This record gives sequence, structure tokens and C-alpha cells, in this order.
Amino acid sequence: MTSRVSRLTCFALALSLALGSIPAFAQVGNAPLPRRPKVIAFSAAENVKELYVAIMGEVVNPGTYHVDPSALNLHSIVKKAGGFTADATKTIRVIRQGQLNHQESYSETVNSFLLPGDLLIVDSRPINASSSQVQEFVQEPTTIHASYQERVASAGVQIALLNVQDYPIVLRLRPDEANTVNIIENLGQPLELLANTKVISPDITTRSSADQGKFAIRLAGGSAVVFDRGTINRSRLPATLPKPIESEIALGAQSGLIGGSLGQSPELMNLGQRAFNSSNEASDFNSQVPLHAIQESLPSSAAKMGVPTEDLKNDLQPPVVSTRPRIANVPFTGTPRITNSSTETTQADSVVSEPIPQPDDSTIDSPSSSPMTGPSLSIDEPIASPSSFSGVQLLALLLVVGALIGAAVILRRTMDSNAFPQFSAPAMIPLISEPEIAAPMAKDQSSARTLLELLIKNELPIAFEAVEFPSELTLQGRIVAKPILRVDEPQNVLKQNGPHFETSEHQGGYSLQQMTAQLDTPDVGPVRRPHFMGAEKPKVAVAAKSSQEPRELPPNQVGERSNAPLANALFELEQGGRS
Amino acid sequence: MTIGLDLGSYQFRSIRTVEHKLIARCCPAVFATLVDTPAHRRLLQQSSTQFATCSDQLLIFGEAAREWSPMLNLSLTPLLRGGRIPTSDPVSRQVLTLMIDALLPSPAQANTLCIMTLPGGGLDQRIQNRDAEFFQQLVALRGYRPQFVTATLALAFAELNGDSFTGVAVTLGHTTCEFGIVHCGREIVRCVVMNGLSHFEGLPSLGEALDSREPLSTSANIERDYFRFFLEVVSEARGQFELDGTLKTLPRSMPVVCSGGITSVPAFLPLFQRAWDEAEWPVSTRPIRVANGINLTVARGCLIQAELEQPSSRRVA
Repeated sequence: MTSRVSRLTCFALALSLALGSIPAFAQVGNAPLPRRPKVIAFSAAENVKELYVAIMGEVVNPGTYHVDPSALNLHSIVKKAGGFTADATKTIRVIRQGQLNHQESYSETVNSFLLPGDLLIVDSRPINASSSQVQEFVQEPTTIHASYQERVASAGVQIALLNVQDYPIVLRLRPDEANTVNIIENLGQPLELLANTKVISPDITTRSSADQGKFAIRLAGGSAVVFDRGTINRSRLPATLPKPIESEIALGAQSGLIGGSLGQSPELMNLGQRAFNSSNEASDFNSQVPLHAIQESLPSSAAKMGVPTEDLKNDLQPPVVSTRPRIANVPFTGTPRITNSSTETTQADSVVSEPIPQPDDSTIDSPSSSPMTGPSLSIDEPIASPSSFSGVQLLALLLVVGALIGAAVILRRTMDSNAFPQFSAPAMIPLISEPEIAAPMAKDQSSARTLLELLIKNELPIAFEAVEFPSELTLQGRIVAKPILRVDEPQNVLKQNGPHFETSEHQGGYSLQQMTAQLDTPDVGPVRRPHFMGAEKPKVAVAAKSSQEPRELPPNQVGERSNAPLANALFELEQGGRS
Repeated sequence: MTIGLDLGSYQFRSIRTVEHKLIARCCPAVFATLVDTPAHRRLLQQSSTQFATCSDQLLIFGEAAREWSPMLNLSLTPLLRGGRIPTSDPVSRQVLTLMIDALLPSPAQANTLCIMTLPGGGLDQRIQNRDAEFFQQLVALRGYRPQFVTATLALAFAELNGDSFTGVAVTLGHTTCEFGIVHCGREIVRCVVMNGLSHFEGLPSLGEALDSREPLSTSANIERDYFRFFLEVVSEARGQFELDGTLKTLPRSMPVVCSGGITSVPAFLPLFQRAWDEAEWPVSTRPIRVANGINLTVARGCLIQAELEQPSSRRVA
């Protein structure tokens, strides 16, 4: 008991000294404080608020995702969608602004930027013809041939709607319900809208024919229905259209067209699938229940688009997690136990506190990692039992603590006065702060700033390095002939660049530069002057010359440019000179 | 270490940081050929000019070619035609390889990030762009990890830091003129007008001091031609942006920054501003300004992007 009181007294003394120092430190307002790092606040601007990218096909969680501007790239979207399924080819088609923009192969090393409103379609591997899976739909005059391979296990075809909302919408439909007429009807739009729709089929080309506006088009998985902008009456759209997945935590709010799995948690997905598949096997498209039958079978007719009903939603409400107090009111009975509440939950707790697994939240694997039931050390017993101290002792202890705090405050104020100038606060603070922060700034201000900052502000000096090429390399191939040069006489301007008397190697002969260089060579002996060439002319040149018979005549006699005196002079030089 | 590589249609540039200094390498994307004679060889060797041989011709590249061409009256052959690598021209491809190798120093460590632009505005439909694959392969073979960025975004990184990286970035290139609308460091939309300043090759350049014997109207004619060109490309870009509907979402008073070789001419800015005003953009823009350090602005933007891509622990403090 005595030792406990002494320990508490020491603790109280230390606490009071610390508390007593606070006002003294608070008074030191004029002292230079250490520089704080600049905090840059990010806020979404108006026109980048709606950054949505949709992904469908062979990914784990297809759907429309709300992304940050920094995450507007392929890797982030694929990661948000939970990665690829086993059947993915990793060939991604990018639908941008209502048309197929490009197609690219997913690579871990190469990331590509996306634009808001992009729709990514991950293709699946081709399936053997012998398999029981649906390969393609019946080719009808008004049917778009679809070679997209939709896996049976995915229980429906994924269709994207563009220009319906401000973001692409990804739906999962039964194959026999997947046609443009049905979609337009379910969207509450008039059928005249068919004329303003375009279907981008899974094969690369965009199928758009005149017939599309007249008849229903059966859609294959991976198709995108593009409506003309402004043609959709949004006031008539059902409120139950799938919403974008705003964040990883709120994934459960996403709902599919028929309770699909578009971004939903697995439990939601399973319930939706159960409602969707009702009593049928998911392995056969043709045995699935039609859309209207499912809607009628649901207890509530709230959702024409087949969103989970109210009862279903009630079932899907997140369970209420009972949180226990951190310090229990249990009398102290022995040595205090420090336990992890997550490992000591009762069975009922463990059942209740198990969170709904989130599709994208891989960290929520166990109850211990749930944000609601996170691991926390809780002392389940009080520090001391209430019966340990009497009221008088506690009062005395509080008085002592108060007195000590007051004494510490007085002592500190006394120290701050001029009685002990060497220990005054302004003298002490630089000892702490200046060597770390201020001194480097005084030496070189630029060193305190990051290279990136200097680079952005263009404050770094620039030095130019010479570009060195390896010398005397031998390149393979044949130099492509240069463009034909001409002199634009009316303007007296040389079109194209380069000398207008240069002969290409097809013509053979000598260029002006070659002649000049040879004439300027100090070594007189081997110089072959043009008018002495005669028999000493190189064989190559002779052969080239001999291959062009009309060269016996001056150029102006063979229909070439007549007013080229220098060319004529060169020709005469090659022929042996005028003299 | 990271590096920025700006591959233009007419000039290649690389830039990197070494001990709080920017080290740049520039190389015109041209080569010239001379007949392989002892005199030419001796001339090039004595002047320490690197050259290569190919089918009885001597090839000199880049700055050396540009220096020697007026002296020897050589024709400069562009490595890229219309911003694209010419097909069936293996020699050009080999020279391109040499140039990329010369522009990129050996990386200190493998997979060093290299942010690069592509000539001719060719970043869209990259899968179909064989040039992109070619350049990507060259950079990767040099030991770098290539990533592409558009020239307009790089320009915004380099020049729009005072405007929260928001504004209109315009690059007036040799073969293309690119307009990019960048908002908070993200390029919302980009328009590449396939019309560059190569049309004016061989003609007196803007603001050039003309011979006094020339008629006085010649200078006005040059300005008129340039004005028409600017008006054409700016109007085209505005029309494309309007079709896209992007301009409606833009904040008011957007800054506009221009880069490109032509912007160094003093007569450029008033002329381009007049063309911009005449194109009647539906959003109000601030007075156009020209990028600082015109030659290396885009490359510096690439380097900024490369530094931003680095993990914070690797950024040099």
C-alpha cells in the first residue's frame, strides 16, 4: 500500500512538473518556431468531380468506378475491379466517347492513361467449339454477329450503356433479354430512340448499319450500346439504375440490373444471383428465367430494373456491431489481464461482428482487421479497486497534485524572468531548432528545397553536353534517294533543302562536292581532274555513265531544263572540257 | 536518376539532373551524306566529326550535319517524314538508334524511368503506332523504363506551376500543332492538328530581316501567311474542343502557354495572340505567354513527370 502511494506520488509530481511547464512554453510566442512542412490540400475541382471509368468483361468486379484524377490509369482501374479472372486474355478494348478508341494488351510495366468516361472491356479467351458454352448467337439479318465468349459462370451477359448518365453504366442481363428494344423499354424511353443508338460489338469493328435503327439488336456480352447525346430523357430513367462505385468501402451500395454482381459484395452478389437464377442452373443460358418473370417473382415491384427489393435490402443491411466498453466495470480479482478484444470475443460477438466482405477490400479478411472491430488492447479491469483508497486519501492526493502544479508554474515563471537569463526560453529554443532547420537555410537556401520544387520553378542551371556518336560505324542498307530538288524560278527560292546540282547515285557521275574536294586536295599526285579524266575515270563512274546513253548529248538537247548553264558546264567538263 | 526525353519531329532532346544541375543533350533529327572520298574522310577526321559509312557514302548526323551542310552544300535528310519514321528506310532507323543511344547516357541502375514524348503528336492509338513501339524498344534497350507523356502535358508541368497546373498548353511543332487542356495536372483533352511549321521551310522566316532590295510588301506577306496558318490551326482546335463539349466545363480565365521554335521570334506573340482572339474561343483566356527556355521546356516537363513518378524516398532532397 505504501509503495503504491509512493509510486502515485512520484507520478503526480512528474505530471505536475510537466503541466506546470505548459504555460511557460505557451508564453514563448515571439521565439522563432521551427519551419513546418507545407501542407498542400487537395480538393476536387468542378470539372474533375465526375471521374468515372467503367470496366467489364473478364474482371472480378465489373462496374463503374469513381476514381481520383491521380488514379485515372489502366492499372488502377484493373486493381479496383479486383484484377482479371482466369479467363481473361488481358486484351483490353477502350471505348472512348462512344467509339472504339484503341485496343491494348495489359502489361505490368506499361501503364496507360485513361480519360473520364472511358469504358474498358476485357476480352476473354476463345473457347473450344466442343464446349457447351454459347459461342455466338443466331445470325439474323438484323443481328450483330457476336463472337464474344461469355463464360457460363458469369450468369448473364455484360452490357454497357453509354450516354445514358454522365458515366457509363454496366449491366448484366440474360442473353435473351439482352437486346436494344428491351433495354430501351426498361430505361423508360420511347422505342423511337432505336434510331439514335449505336452498338459496339465485341469484334473490333463498330457495327452500325441502317437497319439498327429499325429492329431490335441482340447483344452479345461485351457490347456497348451508345445513345446519341441528349436523346435520353433522364427524368424517365428508373432510379434503380446501377450507381457508380464511389469508394472501396461503399461497394455494397452498388446494385446491378438484376441483382448482379457489378461491384457488389459477395453476399449481395449471391443474394442477387439467387433471385436472378431462382431455381435454374446457372450453367445454361436458355434455362434462365426471363427478366419479367424475375421481377414478378420478387415480393416488391419497386424495381422494374430488377434491383434487390426492400426485403432483400433489409436482409442486406450491415449488422449492428456491439461495441464493448474499453474499461470494464469488473471488480479487480487478481492480476490485471490485458487482452485483445478481437481474440476474446464471444461466439455471439464473432458472429455478429463479422463484417460483410468487401470485394475490393482485401485487408478485411478477419474480424480483427475490420474497422469496427479492430484490434485494440483493452484493460478489462480497473487500475485499482474502488475500495483501495478512502475518500480522504484521494482528496489529499488531489490537493498535493494541485499544490505541486502551482509550485511548478511559479518556478517556471521565475525562471523565465531575468533572474536566470542564461536559462530563459528565447535562449533555449534556438539550441533546439536552429541547428536543424535554420542553419542549413542560412548556408544554402536551395538545398532546403527539393529538387522537384526547383525543377518545377525552373531554377536549376542548365548545362549542355555534346552528343557523341560512335565513329566510323558501317550502316547496313541503302540510302533512300532524296526528294527531287527544284528551283522555284519565279520566286528565286530553293524549294526543299540541299544543293540543286547534286546528282543522285542512280544517275551516276560526280557531285559538285566531290569535284571540289578533289580539286582542293593538297596531294596533287592522285588527283583526277575532271577534264583529264578520260581513260582514268573510275570504273564505277564509267559504268554509270555507260548505262545512260543520252548523256552523249547536252541536257538541253534531250528536253531537260534549258537554262542550267552550270549543269551544262559540268557536263562539258565531264566530256573533256571545252578546250 | 530519371530522365526526360523529348522526341520532336525536327530535334531530339534529353534532360536529366546531376547534382542540382540540369544536363541537356540536343540533337537535330537530320543526317547528311557525302561521297566517301579520302578528302572527305580526312576532312571529317581532322575536324573530329563522327561519321558512319553506308554504301560508298559518309553519313554525318545531328548537329555536325547541320554545321557542315552550308559549308559543303550538303542536303539535310530528315530522319522523320511528317513526324513518322519512314517505311522501307533501314538507314534512317539505324541513325535513329544511334541518336537515341547518344542522347541517353548509360543509366546508373536498371529500369531507370524515362518519360518521353513522341514525334508528330503520336500518342493516341499507341497500339497501332509502330513508331511508338520502335522508340519504346530503343529506350528499353538502353536500360531505361520508358513511359509516354504528351508534349502538351509536359509543357503544362513545366510552365503552369503558377496556375495550379491548369490551362491551355500549345506546342507549335515542325509537323503538328498540339493543343492540350490541362486541369490540375491532368490532361482533360488534347487536339493534334496535323499541320506544322514545315510548310514555311525554305521561305523567309517570321521576323527575319529582309534584304532592303525586297519590296516592302514581302514582310507583310510573310506575316500574313503566318497569321493565316495560326488562325487555321487555332480555329481547328477550337472547333474540335467545342464538338467535344470540353470548353463548357472549363473554368474561366484560363492561362495559355506556347512552346516551339517559332515562339522565340519576337514577332510571334502578337501575331499568335491576334489569331487566338480572332478564333473566338468561347472561354475567356488570359494573355498568351511564351514558355521559358523554349528549346527544353517539354523535356523539362518530361523530367518533372519522371520525378513525380518516383517514390518519395528516391527523390533527391
